[in-house]
Amino acid sequence: MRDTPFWRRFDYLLVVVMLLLVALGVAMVRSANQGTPDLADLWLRQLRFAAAGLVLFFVIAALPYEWFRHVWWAGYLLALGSLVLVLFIGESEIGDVRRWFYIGNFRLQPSYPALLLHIVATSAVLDHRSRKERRLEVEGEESPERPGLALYLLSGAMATVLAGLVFREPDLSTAVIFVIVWGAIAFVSGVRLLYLGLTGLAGLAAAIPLWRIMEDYQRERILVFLNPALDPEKLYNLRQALISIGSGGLWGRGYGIGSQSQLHFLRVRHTDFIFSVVGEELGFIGTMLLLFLFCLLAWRIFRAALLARDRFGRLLAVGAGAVVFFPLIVNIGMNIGLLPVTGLPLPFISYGGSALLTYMAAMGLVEGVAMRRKERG
Amino acid sequence: MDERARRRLGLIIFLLALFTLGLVHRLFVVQVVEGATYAQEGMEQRIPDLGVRFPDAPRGRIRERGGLLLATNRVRHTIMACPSCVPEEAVDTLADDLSPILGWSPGEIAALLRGREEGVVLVPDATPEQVEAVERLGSPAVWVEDRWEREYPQKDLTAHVGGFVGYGEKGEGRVGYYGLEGFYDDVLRPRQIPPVEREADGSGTRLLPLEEGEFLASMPGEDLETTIDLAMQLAAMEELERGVQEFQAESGIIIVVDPRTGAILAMAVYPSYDPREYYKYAGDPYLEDLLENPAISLHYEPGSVFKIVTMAAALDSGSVTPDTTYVDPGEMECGGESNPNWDGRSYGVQDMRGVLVHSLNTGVVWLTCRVMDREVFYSYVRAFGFGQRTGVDLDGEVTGIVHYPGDLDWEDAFLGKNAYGQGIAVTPLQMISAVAAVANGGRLMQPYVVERRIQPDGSVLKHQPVVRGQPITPQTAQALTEMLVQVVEEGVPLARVPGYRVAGKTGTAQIPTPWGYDPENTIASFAGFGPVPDPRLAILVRLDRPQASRWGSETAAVVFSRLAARLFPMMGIPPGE
Repeated sequence: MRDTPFWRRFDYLLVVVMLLLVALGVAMVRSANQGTPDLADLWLRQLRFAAAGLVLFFVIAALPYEWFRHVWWAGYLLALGSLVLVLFIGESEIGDVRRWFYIGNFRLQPSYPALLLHIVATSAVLDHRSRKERRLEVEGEESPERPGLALYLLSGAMATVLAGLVFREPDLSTAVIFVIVWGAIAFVSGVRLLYLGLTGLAGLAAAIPLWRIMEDYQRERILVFLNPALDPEKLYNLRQALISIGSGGLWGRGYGIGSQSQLHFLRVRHTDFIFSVVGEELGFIGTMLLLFLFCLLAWRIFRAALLARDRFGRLLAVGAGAVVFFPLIVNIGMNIGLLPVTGLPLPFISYGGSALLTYMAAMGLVEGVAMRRKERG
Repeated sequence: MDERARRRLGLIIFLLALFTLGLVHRLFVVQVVEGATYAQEGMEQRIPDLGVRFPDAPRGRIRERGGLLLATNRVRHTIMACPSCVPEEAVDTLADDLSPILGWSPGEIAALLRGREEGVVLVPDATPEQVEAVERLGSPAVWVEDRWEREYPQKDLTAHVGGFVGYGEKGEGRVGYYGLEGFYDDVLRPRQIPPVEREADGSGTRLLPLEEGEFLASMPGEDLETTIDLAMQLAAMEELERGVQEFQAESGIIIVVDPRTGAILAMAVYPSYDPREYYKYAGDPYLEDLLENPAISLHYEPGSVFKIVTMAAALDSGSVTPDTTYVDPGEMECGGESNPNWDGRSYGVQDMRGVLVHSLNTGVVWLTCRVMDREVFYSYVRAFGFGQRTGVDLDGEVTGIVHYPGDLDWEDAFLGKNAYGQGIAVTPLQMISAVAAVANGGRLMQPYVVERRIQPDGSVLKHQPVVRGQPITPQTAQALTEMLVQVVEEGVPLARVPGYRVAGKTGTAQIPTPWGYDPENTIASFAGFGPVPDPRLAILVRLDRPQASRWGSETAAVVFSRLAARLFPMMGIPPGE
């Protein structure tokens, strides 16, 4: 049996859906900020990030992903280093927050590329085999073995360290993504459910001391989530988001003329609440289109995971999926008042260079896995 | 691939799908089911909160001093039908349905529904029950149109102060005419908010460019709170009507002002009209004149009441004192014309009090023609506000006519006739304002009607009394007031108000016609104020062409007395000795 050239198996739909989402995002950023002189050109920047992201997508997809298995530790150290470094030389306009490197006029948020490296490292560790196991695998059957307790604990410890550093920035919501990504990869890697269950219980137990060391605003956010009446400002933002989405009705108020967005009743429009701009200006049709595109994307990612040639590839795809869909759920849930207000952007749509590059690179990983899938039948 | 991974991936997919379904459901509820509610909520917060109503806001209301409504609005429901929209086979059914609602026979309705019009009025002013029935019917060919209708609860009582709202001649919708409706039309009118102003952000500064006419938002007009006291207005109207009937006059006017501020407390005009039925008058050359407010829009020759002004000028300029005497020859020539006394008699040696008490024409002609410089006299006429608009906030005020020395049409005879209020045209409001200035220590106040303007957002614009000038000193005013008290006490007994010291002067003016003065008819008037020494009311009573007696002292003075006797207690001024 001859191998089909990998470009024949290139998942075009994945790229098309991703580009449609990015295009929608750029358009909505443009609409959300057209009335704010300082930010009116952000959509152009976002467009340039998208171009860079596309290049990154193809580079990562083109690299054989097995290579990553061999350099995961270097990637992990890089992530670790950058997250430590940002605690020392990181800057921010908002108070005592160290979340960004300023490189020229670009603001790099190291936690995002670290997420990518985190996916690779977690997947590699949980897919680690002895030489003997690997020899068996080469001869045919995929090893049915699941990761042992040692690998599970190691990957968990690695994830905790990264998440803890991000939490120190402080950036609770992004730290949670690290944990979720790790959990998703571990779950699909076949780790015993007992371990995962115990970890969950331990996590709950740890929540109490964690509560103590949380930043006030983080504690407050959780409290406000439990009882929104605590913070009129948050309540206001949520209310405005809901009014915006509801005002859109079936067909929307029209691109660029959503009153809520254009008159700035809606806050942080181009990032946290961009979904509400979509809801107001493009209506139920628009939000359904957005969800449909994300469903297509989920389909392509799960398809890549299911068809992956090996477990490492599958785990990479799962990690990439988790890194996109967890923030997606949290963000939309927040916009429609189902989940607490967190700073998580809407993947591909919200403005933000680091995030966009990371998401597109993650899709590159998925594409790499998809186009190197095993033959069907 | 191993089954475990497949199972676990499947579980994740299942959970994601479940969540997605939840999202779709929630978005459907928020955007489609409840979308209109959110849209409304958003609209309300974006339209600056000025009490905006959709789709149309009412005209501002007008109230009297105590808050009772002089002009307000109600919604008028008009049931309309579109005969050309009804297919032939549906006509009979619809006619049967409409018959009990309209109270017409089905045949009549069917005949109407077979017409070709796109909009005919079925019921111009429908009851709420009819409206409900039509809406329950739900026929696309029959509908209800709502529009604001101006209401005047006081009907003809305050018509000339209020004016009315009619349809503009240039198709500009409702326009206020005459009185307050005319003067304050811009203020009372509901304001269309231009599209660019309709939606503003929280700070009210950012505006959203929207297409023209996208929203039909408007703000209600301002409410006006007037100086009119409805009880006084009613009393004035009653006494005026009684006087007109009793003395068989054609028409009449009563103005009541507060001399201290210029506030017009009552302005009664007889005959009046119902402002809701203005259209019955408009267009008819005779009836149309009834719409005009003669208190400000028509001038007349005031006659002897004007002697107050002449005497004020003579006293204030130092030309005479109340004790100055002259010999009354019974008639006095000035500018080549003779000016006889009202009864043609000579009263011998008289002081200035006697001139006013007996209303001697020769006395005042002596003052203007012999004693004062003519420029001095006319400077006082001007200072008392004659020949100029008073600036009252009512629509349609005229200036009156004063001839000044040096004018092209000047005749020297004017100097004599003007002294007793002939050959000069004034408005009733000018006349009472000048008399009120005497009552107010010589300060001429600008008369006004609107005390407070209440804007839709609740903010208030309050009128500040305007002093137009000080034509005479307080001392002159006081001396003149005493003389005018004496006039009532000794010269016009019918004007007395038991229990109160009042000052005043009668007038019996000849009516100019193109053929000279009307030999039969007069305008009888009385201008007075009280109680002296702290006058709170100045009242002008004018009766036109009274037949029972031509003299102001026997007609208008009576009306003045009756009215003042009712008004002083209303103001909480108890009668004295």
